[in-house]
Amino acid sequence: MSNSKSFLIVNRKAPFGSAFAKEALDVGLIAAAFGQKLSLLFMDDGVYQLLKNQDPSDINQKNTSQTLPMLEMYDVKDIYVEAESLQARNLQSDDLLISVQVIDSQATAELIDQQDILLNF
Amino acid sequence: MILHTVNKSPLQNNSLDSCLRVAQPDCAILLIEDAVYAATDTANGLISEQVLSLHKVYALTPDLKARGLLERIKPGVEPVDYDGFVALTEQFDSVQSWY
Repeated sequence: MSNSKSFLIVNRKAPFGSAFAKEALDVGLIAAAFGQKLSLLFMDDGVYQLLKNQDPSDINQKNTSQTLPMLEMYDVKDIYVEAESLQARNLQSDDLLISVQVIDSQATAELIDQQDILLNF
Repeated sequence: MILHTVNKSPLQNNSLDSCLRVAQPDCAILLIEDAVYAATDTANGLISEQVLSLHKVYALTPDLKARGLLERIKPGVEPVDYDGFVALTEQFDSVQSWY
């Protein structure tokens, strides 16, 4: 699509304390469905959205982490995680339920710099 | 004796720092909602060995389970379910909520 813009969704919040994670994913799936060039960045507590074994059935919330693998069906492959954020939480990429590209904060700055549209959640 | 409840992530909010600064040794700390991330091994390690030696620290099981943390809980932090939460509020004179 010649007039498509590059979008970056920046996810910085943990999954259940607020609606940000769910809404970011909704926006991401819509942007992908409309054929936009979409990348996702997870940093700070946002990396917790990607943790394996989430099960919010006992707190009556939807398990948005189950929707994450759908991103691949929508051809969203540019999923980035900031290394420093993982490190601060003693997490490895093995702890995450989808495959991601782990990048340092310098590469994160460049990623943000390259985008037409930035959406922060 | 006071039960301190904290519901914010220790890496994005200073509620837990404030709680730990003023909590007296006979007080218990109950981590709920996003504060249960403090029950895992994070770099800032607010729930330290020292904190665990001074206070009984609990974390709410449904919130741990929701966030995929049941297997990641630190030794020394005791998981409690909703009934345990109610029992704790009965056991202490009052509840201080850090949110």
